[in-house]
Amino acid sequence: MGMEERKRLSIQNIIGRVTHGLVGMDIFLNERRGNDYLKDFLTLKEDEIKATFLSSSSKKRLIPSDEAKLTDEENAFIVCIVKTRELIARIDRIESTKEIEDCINELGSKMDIIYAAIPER
Amino acid sequence: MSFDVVLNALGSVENHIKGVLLDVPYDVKRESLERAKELFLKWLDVYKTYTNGYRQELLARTQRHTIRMLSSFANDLDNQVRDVFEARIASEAYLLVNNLFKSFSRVSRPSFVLAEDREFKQTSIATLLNDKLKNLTVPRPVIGSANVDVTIRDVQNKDIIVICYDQGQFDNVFSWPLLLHEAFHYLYANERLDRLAKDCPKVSWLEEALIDMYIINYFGPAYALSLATYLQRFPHEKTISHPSFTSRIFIALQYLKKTQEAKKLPLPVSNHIADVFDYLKRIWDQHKEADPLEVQEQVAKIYDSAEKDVKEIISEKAQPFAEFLSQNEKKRQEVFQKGGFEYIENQVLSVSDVADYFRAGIPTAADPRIVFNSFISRQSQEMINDPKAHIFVKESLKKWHLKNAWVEAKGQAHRST
Repeated sequence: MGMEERKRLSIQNIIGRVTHGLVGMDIFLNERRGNDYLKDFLTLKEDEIKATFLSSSSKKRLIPSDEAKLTDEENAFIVCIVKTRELIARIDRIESTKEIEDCINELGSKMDIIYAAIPER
Repeated sequence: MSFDVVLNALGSVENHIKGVLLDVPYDVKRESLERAKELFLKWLDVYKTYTNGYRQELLARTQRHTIRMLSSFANDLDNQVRDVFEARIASEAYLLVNNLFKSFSRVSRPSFVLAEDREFKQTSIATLLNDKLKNLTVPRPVIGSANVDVTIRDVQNKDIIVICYDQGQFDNVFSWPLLLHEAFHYLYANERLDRLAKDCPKVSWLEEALIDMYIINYFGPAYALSLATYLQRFPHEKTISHPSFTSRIFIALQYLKKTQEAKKLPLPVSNHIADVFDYLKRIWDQHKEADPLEVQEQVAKIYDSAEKDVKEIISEKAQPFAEFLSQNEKKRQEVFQKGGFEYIENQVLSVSDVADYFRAGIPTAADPRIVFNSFISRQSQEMINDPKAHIFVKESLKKWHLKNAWVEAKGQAHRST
């Protein structure tokens, strides 16, 4: 499997788990209980996401020594995921539903931008 | 917004799969595509089950994200289907790969399809499905999970090989020997050929190196030429699983050098081998600095350790190229002495015959190994961009296939009388 295809699958995998995080929070708001979707989201680790976004193929770089960097959108997405992890960790103790709803909206809009980062086939 | 949009998209994919017309000329291609069709429909069933599962969840705020995720999977599947059913490579490539499987498979010939991609690689439909499901596996929607397991098992049981080619090479018949390398990955795994690795240095790219050795010893210098021509465009790419470009060229050079030294090949191939050697050596000289000396030593050791066994294993099923060519020449002389050359089943063609036929513009029913190795001389290397050469190879494979079908049918008729 080529680098681009591997990267594509890895990003899809991250998006899949973020989607589960969103679904999990939605279900939590309806049913007021933890669920497997939230557990799936919590398997996401900051380092893993960074490594995935940084793994762009070297062949696309004109200067091989050019150090790969995260885009502003990717950085914002990672920060948002970390923030969501903290929220989910204390979700049972949150009294205001607004905090969760805001988190859903923010993470959802960040993910919309990230969809554009999936390499084309 | 509802999940109906996803189900509609999946319905369109289903129509694309079901609407594929399989009026293709060769049984091997038609049968494989029929199986692929069946497996893609099962893959689609998995996505439908997931969609229906998510539909059962009460999603007030996040339905659109789930719909988007599932829609992107539907799109990917549609592309995957097109890669296989709309692959632009000529159908005769199926004949070449099928011949390899027929020659080397111990039990039954595996099914395979050729698919358009960005690179040459080998995979299978079950593997592609599993790679996609990694994104959906945990947690599954509760509804229909059991059905998903049954369908996945079914796909695994009826799995077929997918041999991908670089889309830019779809009309280049002289890159087809690279398909044999990819096909050989299946044989390497299923025929337990990894036993050859026992005395070799334990490097992560050993399988690739051994497969290059197999194919070059089986298919001859035409493979070396294809490999070098293709790889020199991106010489410094390497991965953990593949030896570097220069190492692969070095393996081919080992073969060409030893074959020249053995002086077993009939003319004009023995002279042409020198042409191929020069071509590869020029490329290798330009890039050899990229590999540390240690890697070259490892490659040389792998070649020396495995060469005898590689030839023996090829001999169990077919003949290594050098022996095949000598045998072919001997048979050709016998036919000339005994007569009967006018009967197609008796015709044995040499590399020189094929070159003569090419000049006359007449495709020949020669063995693929003879056909491809008729284009390795320095003079022929300059012609490989000539569309006439590509048409000649394709039509020759077609004619060779028809000859075999005729010989088989005649044999059957003879046996039944």
